[in-house]
Amino acid sequence: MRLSVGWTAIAVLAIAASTALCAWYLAPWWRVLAIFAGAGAIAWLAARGAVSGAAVPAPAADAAGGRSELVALLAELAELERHHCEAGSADLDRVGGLLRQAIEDLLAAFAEMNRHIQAQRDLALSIVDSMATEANGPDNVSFAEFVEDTSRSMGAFVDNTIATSKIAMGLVETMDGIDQETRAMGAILGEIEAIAKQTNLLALNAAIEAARAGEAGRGFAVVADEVRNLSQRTNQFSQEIRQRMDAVGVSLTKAHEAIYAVAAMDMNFALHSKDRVQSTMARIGRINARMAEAAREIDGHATGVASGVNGAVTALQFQDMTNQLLEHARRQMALAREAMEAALAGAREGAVERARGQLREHGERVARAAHPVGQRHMGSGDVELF
Amino acid sequence: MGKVVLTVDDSASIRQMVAFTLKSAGYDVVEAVDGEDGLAKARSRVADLVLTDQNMPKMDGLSLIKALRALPDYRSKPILMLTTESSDAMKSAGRAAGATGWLVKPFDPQKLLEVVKKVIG
Repeated sequence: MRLSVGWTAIAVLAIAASTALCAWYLAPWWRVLAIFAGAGAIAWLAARGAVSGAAVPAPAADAAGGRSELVALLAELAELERHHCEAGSADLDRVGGLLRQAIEDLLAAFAEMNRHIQAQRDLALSIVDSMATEANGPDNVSFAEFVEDTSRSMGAFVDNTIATSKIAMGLVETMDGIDQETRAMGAILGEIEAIAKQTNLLALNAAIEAARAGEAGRGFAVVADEVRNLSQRTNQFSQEIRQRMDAVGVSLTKAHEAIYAVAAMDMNFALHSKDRVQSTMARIGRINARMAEAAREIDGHATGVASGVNGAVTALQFQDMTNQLLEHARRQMALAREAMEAALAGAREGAVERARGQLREHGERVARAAHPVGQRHMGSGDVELF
Repeated sequence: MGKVVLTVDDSASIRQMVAFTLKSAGYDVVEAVDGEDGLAKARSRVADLVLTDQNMPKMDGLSLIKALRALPDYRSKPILMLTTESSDAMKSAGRAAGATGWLVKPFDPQKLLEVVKKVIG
C-alpha cells in the first residue's frame, strides 16, 4: 500500500500534535512521550522527504484506499483524543474545585485566628498600659508610683516612730535625773528635821535655865518658848514636804516605767513593720515587673503570629495562580481538539492544503495564547504606581 | 464609616484576602465577581478606590477601567490593577486605560495596605 505523502504528513503531524498537547497537560511523565512523538514525526517526515512537501506519484486506487484507512484512523484518534481531553478537563475542574474550597476554608481559619491574636494583643497592650498608668482612683497614679508612695509613707511613719521613741528614751533619762534630785531633797529634809529636833532640845534646855534664873530669866524663857515653837513648826513642815515628795516619787516611778515600756514596744513594732512592708513592696514590684514583661512577650508573639498569617495569606494566593494556569491548560486542550477535528475534516474531504492551512492557523493560535501567569515563585509581586 | 474600597476579582479567595486585609484596617470593602458586576456596584455606591483583576469573565480589568473613567464620579478616583499579569505591554495598556498603579499577584497584605493608605489615606 502506498500512501500520498501529503496526507501522511498531515496525519503524522496531527497525531504528534494532539498526542503532545494532551500528554503535556495530563501528567508530567507523559511529556517524555510528547517529546518522543514530536521527534519521531519529524524524523519520519525527513526520511520520507515530506518536510520538503515533495509528492510521490501513486496509483489512484491505492491512494483512495489508503486515504480511507487513514481517515478511519484519524477518526479513531479524534475520538480517543476527545475522550482524553474530556477526562483531563474534568480532572482539572475537580482539582480547581478542591483547591478553591480548601483555600477558602484556610482563609476563613486564618481570619479567625488573626481576630483572636489581635484581641490577645490588645489585651496584652492594655495590661502593659495598666502597669504604667493604671487609674487607681481619681489621682490616676501608676501601680509603680503607688508602690513607691506606699514605701515612702511607710518609711516616714517608721522614721517618726523611731524619733518619738528616741524622745521617750530621753524622757526616761530625764525622769531618772528627777528621781535622783528627789532623793537628794529627801536627804536634805532629813537634815532639816534633825536640826529642828536639836533646836527643840536646845530651846527646852534654855527654858529650864531661864526658870532657874527666876525673874531675871523671864524674858529669856519667852524667847526659848518661841524658838521651841519654831522648831516644832519646822519639823511639821518638813514632814509634810516629805509626804509630798514620797507621793511625787511614786508618780515618777510609775511614769518612768510607762515611758520606758512604750518606747521599747513602739521601736520593735515599727522596725518589724518597716521590714515587712519593704519586703512585701519589693515582692509586689517584682510581680508587677514580671507581669509587664510577660505582657510584652505576649505582644511580641502576637506580632510574630500576625506576620506568619501575613505570609500565609500571600502564599495562599497560589490558588488564584493555579486556577488561571488550569484555565490556560483547558484552552490549550480545546485548541488541540479543534486541530484534530480540522485535520479529520480535511482528510475526509480530501482538502490537503486547506487542512494544512487550518493546522498552521491552530499552531499560531496556540503560540498567541498568552500565558496568564508570569510568576515562577510565590514571593510577593511588584508594586508600581503610575 | 471607613473609606470604601471596591475589589473586583473572579477569584473568591482573592476577594476574601483583600477584604480580610483591608477590613482589619478599618476600610469598608465592597466585592464584585467580574468587570460587569464591578461596574454595576461602582455605579450604585461610589468607591474611594477600585482594585481590579485583569483576566475576568464578561468584562476584563482594562475594559472596566475604561468604562469607569467615562463616569463623572470616577474620572479622578484611584484605580489599581491587582493581577498575575506582569508584562510591560500589559502595564502600558493599563496606564493608557487610566490605571493609577499596578500590583502583581501574589500580593503581600502589608504592602497592599501600605499602598492603599498611600493612595487614599
